[in-house]
Amino acid sequence: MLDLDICIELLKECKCIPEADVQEICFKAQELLMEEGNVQLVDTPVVICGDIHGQLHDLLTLFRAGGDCPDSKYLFLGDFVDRGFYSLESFLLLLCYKVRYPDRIALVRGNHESRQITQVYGFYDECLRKYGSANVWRYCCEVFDYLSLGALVGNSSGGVFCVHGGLSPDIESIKQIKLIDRKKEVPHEGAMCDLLWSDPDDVPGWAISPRGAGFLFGKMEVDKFLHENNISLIARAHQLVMEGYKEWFDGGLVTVWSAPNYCYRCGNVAAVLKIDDNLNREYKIFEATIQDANAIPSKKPVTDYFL
Amino acid sequence: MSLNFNPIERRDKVIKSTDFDALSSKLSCFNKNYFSNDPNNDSSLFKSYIDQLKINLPLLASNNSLFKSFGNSKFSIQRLLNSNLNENLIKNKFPLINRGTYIRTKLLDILIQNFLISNNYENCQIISLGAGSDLRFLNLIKNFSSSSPHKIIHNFKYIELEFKESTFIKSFIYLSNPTFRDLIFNSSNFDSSLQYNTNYNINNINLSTFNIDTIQTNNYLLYPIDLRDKNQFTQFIQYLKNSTTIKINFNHPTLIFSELSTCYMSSTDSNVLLQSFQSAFPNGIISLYEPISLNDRFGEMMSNNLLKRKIFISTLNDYPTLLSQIDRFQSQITHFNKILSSDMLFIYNNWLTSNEKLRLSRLEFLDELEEWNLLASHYCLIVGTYGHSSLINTDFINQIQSLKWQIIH
Repeated sequence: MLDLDICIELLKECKCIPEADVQEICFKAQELLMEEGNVQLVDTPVVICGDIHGQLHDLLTLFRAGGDCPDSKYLFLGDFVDRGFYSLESFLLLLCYKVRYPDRIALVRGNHESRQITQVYGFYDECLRKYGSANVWRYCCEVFDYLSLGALVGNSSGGVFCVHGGLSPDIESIKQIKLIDRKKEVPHEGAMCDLLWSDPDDVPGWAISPRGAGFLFGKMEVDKFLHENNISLIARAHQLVMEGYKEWFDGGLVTVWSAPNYCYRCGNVAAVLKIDDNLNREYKIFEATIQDANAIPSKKPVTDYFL
Repeated sequence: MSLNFNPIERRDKVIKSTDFDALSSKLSCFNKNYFSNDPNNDSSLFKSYIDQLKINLPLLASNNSLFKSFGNSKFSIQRLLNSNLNENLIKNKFPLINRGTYIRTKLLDILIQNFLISNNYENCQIISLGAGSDLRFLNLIKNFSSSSPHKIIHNFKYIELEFKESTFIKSFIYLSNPTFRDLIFNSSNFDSSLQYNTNYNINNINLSTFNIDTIQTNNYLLYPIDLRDKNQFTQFIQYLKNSTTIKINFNHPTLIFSELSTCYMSSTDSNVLLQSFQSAFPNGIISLYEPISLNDRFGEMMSNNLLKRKIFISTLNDYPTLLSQIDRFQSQITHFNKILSSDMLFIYNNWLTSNEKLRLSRLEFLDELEEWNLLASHYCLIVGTYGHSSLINTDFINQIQSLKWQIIH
């Protein structure tokens, strides 16, 4: 019989849980997620978090900075997995919270929640290494397909639209996002892809993204989207910001980044964004947990440089 | 065999092993087609080199001095090469490492091509410091002989300097492979080539009795040296002066380059070394490709992370910015006429055509854009020309100045 509280404790200690439990957690999470809309409505107050990327120890620090779950309500903007050494534990911990306290945590899909990307950036290999087969990776990928594409914080006017990447030239209103059939692998182009891949930039209108997916979008597009949808802010993640967060376009958009010392090498601080009942913004900054290099469970060098 | 090492041996093991890390990254680039149709980076040459290395791995590992000279502080050469050349591990190299390895190779290729073209491939020489497993010489010859099969190159010399354990491995691989041997000894482009069988007993290459760590022809020298040792440098210059084979003209324009090698020496040692080269070769270009810390948090983490792997890079913090590298050339090495410098990010953005960048972006999805910007801005190329400007072909200076640079001094 699955005991979520025990799983949560084990995961916080960075320990593996039985494969059968992983399967059950994923199945239960999937059942919850499939009922949610493409754009979830989330009440205030809420703590909005950016990329995690398998940095479990820093995720635990994040929960100390923002308040424990379920005492504080959380909205995670995707990229739970890849790059860090504890993608599986980080993602499962979030899923356990989701199953245990469904109304206290919301999860949005990032571009790394994809079969293709996780095979390049580490999550697939981590599952294989820890469980000896790709089963656990497959269960997680099934969950990825049910994650919502965005969230709307504060249902009154002047709310906050939250998404992993950014805007899409195919999307003018939040209503249009609700029409996407999201339950699939992230496509290489189109609205769903753009929401997960795009970046803000100082460009007029739209521009080609150097990432090879999504678009660059400028102030004009952001202002139009804010006005059209009667919202005050677009909160997104997806891009490393050395200071943890960065406001753009006179405060109409913010990038929130929640993986301190990203990839154990970038030296950045991290942030979460608290939105209160009056839709005021408060940023909480936190630093990386000092980790013993020996604790890193990999035969690969910790990080790659050119030698 | 004992695996006990004193701290200096351990440090040197780690330095010598960085060559295989670079080789591993390059193998990944070749596997992902970064160098497709690149005449300066021939994939069949590279694959032959890797195959020859792999085939001889057990024998190399049974060689006592090699066994002890490479590897992480605790491990042997066999373990090192097994992991660095393991195709399964290599396929996991991140796209930003592949892109960076590609650019790092390209930027020096571009510099060398400019140098050779401006000298019409004649009466000039190239010296590669810490050449490791670099196959540039073979590529140059192969490329030249296919593009201009009947043209004779007069007085072009290429010298590779490296630790003797590395030149031993390279000698063995070069001499035991017919393609490499032909390129080195039988190129029709050279005015007179040395017949290898007169100097090297090639017919029965046997690693257990192989004891060659130097290859010399009229145009090429692979020479074992610890570049930190001043006496060895003096011996090297004497060796060149005495040689009736390679016959160096010290006054000819000379391109001296280091691709991440002098940075592992102390800054004092590397500056003294470069000054010594300037005195020996009075007309030249010194070009270094090195990491810089930029005095920021990424640079600090870089230094810490490398130290955890027992890799100490002196110049990372001694010359942390492009400006301090320029200042080093001016005030520590001195005598430069012109100094040019750019970081790898700038070079990626400005030296590659948009078609080339498009090709790279199609090879692999690079999701690590911000990380790429950080990493690439922490490596720099610095080029200084010295000597009589009439001898340092003004064409070269004009040509490289027409490439974009961040700082020209």
